[in-house]
Amino acid sequence: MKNTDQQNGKIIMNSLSKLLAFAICLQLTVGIYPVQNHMAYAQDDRSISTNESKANRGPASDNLNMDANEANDHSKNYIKLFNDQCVGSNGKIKGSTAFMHDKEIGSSEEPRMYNCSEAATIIQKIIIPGMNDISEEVKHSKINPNCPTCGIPNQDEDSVKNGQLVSGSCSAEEQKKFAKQDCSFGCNILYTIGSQDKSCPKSSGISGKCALEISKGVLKGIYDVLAFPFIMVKDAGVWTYNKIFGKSENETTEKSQVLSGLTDQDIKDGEKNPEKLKQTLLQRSAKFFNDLGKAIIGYPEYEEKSKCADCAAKADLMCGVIGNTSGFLITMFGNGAIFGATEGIAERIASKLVKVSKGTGKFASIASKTILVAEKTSLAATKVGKFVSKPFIRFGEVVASGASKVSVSSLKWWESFKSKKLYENLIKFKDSRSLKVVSNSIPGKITLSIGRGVSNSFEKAGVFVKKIGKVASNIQETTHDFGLGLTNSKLLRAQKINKLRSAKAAANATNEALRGVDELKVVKDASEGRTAEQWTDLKQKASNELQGLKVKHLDDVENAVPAEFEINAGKEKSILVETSKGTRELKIAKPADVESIHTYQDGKLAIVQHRDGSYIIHDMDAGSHLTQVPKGKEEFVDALLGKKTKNFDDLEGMSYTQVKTNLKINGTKFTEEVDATGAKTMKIETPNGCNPKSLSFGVDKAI
Amino acid sequence: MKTILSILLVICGAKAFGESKNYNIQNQKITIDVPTGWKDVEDFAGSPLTFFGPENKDGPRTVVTISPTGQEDKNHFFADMKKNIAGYKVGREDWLKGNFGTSISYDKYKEEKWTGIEVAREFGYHYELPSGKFYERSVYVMCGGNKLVYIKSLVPEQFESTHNSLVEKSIKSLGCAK
Repeated sequence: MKNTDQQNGKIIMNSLSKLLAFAICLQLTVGIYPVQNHMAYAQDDRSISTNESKANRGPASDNLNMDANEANDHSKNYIKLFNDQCVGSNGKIKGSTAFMHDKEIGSSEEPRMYNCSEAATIIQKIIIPGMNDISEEVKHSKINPNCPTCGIPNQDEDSVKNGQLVSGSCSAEEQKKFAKQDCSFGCNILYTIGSQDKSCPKSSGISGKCALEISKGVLKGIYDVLAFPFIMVKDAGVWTYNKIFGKSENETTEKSQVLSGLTDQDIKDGEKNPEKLKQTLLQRSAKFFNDLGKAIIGYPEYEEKSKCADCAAKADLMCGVIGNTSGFLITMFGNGAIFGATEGIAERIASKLVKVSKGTGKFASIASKTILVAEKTSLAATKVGKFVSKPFIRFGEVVASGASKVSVSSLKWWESFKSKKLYENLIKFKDSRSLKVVSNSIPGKITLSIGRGVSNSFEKAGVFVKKIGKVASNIQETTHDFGLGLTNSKLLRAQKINKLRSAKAAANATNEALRGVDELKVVKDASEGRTAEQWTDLKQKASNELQGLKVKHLDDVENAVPAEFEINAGKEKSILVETSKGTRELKIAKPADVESIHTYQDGKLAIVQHRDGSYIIHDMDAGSHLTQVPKGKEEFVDALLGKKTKNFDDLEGMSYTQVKTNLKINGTKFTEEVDATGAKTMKIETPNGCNPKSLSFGVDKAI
Repeated sequence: MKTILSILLVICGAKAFGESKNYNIQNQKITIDVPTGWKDVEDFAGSPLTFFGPENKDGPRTVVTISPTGQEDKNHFFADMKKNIAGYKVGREDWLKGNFGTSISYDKYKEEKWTGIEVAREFGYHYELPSGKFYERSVYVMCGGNKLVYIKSLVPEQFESTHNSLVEKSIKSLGCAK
């Protein structure tokens, strides 16, 4: 074991040396930190584990990938694989070689591919700092594990849902006692997460789906705003005031807002290299999230709090950390890197959460439960109705809200909230240049509001919004009296927040988000990923398969773009297609059957897909159709249009024939075996020859 | 003496205002004055022609985008814009709602004849976003044979007193070849 550790250490040190050299070559100023032993951390974990029963952990108990040891192991493994695959015998990094690692860190997913250059960046910017963070955690890990949760008993999600809550030690009296001994009243604000926005269904809370939307929104916002041309949007080929005063004005406003946020240097960069400008904006948004993360989590103050010298403050801080939103955002953008940010960052946050986590539960259901408790416990006493007060933080369309908890100060929670570090950090952040710069650059995509809501139901929470930069309205004061303090024990029971689960959700969200990033990248790669020879080959192959189609008809097909179209209301069997040359009429037998249209050759040709999946290629100059793609050959058109199989995951669920066709189109090599029953196993080669993908087809799917 | 001084002031003012430049965008030749010290950039991030006001270290800068659309208003669609202008307010309020903004005030719709320009249709509004207050103006200009040139200006509140007039002068200097 010791030898293995030493060997690993050697490998890592070698890799680090090479990475360091690489970093210097790239003139990057990225810090590389020593990897430290994580034994102390493991002890800390164990001490937490003793306080939670496995039964109570429920489904989250298999969430071992959040373990700091494992995160560290994955990181080491990543570096080792990098060393094996990416470092040549001359010690140089093979930048453009594909790099594959065996496991998506923080999840059980199939790996995604990067090239060695990207992997080097990930190691430099994410993994090593991540490992360093864990090491830092180790340094400060001698805390009372009960402290941050103030003795909240562990609950699993099902228990919360079913109302079968484990009695806790935090009745008001007990908490006072506990606080006196071990903690304090710093826990008097606990955050639960929920979504009040229609775009984020309550059932999904603020988990992956919503978080993914944020990240995609940010990225799409940047790409869309920079990419779309200033045109007067038409409706079915004609101007309408609806479109002009709607879409056209919106898009030109958003574009103008982005342009107004650019510096002279941005403009200079953008003129020379538009891609660089996009990257600049992405980095800027990364900074935004990074700063926001700091504001929420209190980081780097967190490191000091980890010493737990000020237990109350720490507890409050960690309660803030529960916010999955903050967890996600930080995990996604915490290091200022977006691409590949999932590698390790989720674990960094998760590790921090693990240290203080005890309970489980999904946010939405907990939020609902909180309301229920409020109804049961507080109405009679106050006679003001079914109200519950909630502080909230709103990111764009997603809201992180908290239920007011408890405790001794009860109705004074807002004042209490305002006096705490979290609020202070957020207020500092709202005045930061980062917020201003990014919200200038990406209007509507990144916004931050802090406030408190008072409502009589979860759905209607958020009546009051105190927007960043605005003076609080008097609603705050008038509604304040309606805020109900909940009794300690009831609310504590309702707030069995599983930080492990949250961490898992954060990790998943991050991975999902990164897939979103990958998707964007793949879309780009679809047109740029093939060499000229590959395109010629693919077009020839497609031409051979597509009856009556000449290769020349496929010239420029790699630049085909989706076209907007409308049925021509004035004529039968005709649709109007928006092309680069303006609106063109396309005669077609069944306009209502048209699913999508791509135009190419400067708008001369159009590939029309029908709802049944069939394709017809039209010559719009000649006003005739060139050829119909024979049934069963649609995949070739898909490939030409960049609808090719994006990754191996897409092959899952396909039939044997479909997989084979896809691989053939993409030129991917594979071998297959048939067993005695007729079942087939297909081994698909990966670009670097490592980790071949294996797909099995039972007898029923082997055709 | 007063007259001479006035003429001198006009000349000096004109010189200080900017430089007349020619562009060929979307096969449409246009001439327009660029305010002194402003950047004029063609084909930038999807905008055919952009004038950037001076850089503002503390926030957004003024931006004017000039977009010759290359499209003719053959059916005189824009002739009844005034009747439909209520839709502008509806559209802006919708946009603001989705962007955490609020409107402050709306300009009155204007139709003007400029030198060499048959008709310019103008409207705009003041609004506030979390990032600040802005004055945004849209101008639909028919020139060079009833061809649409779309101009949008965005002026952050802090520059309104100085930049609004520069923008006004600049866009009114627009000339289109037929």
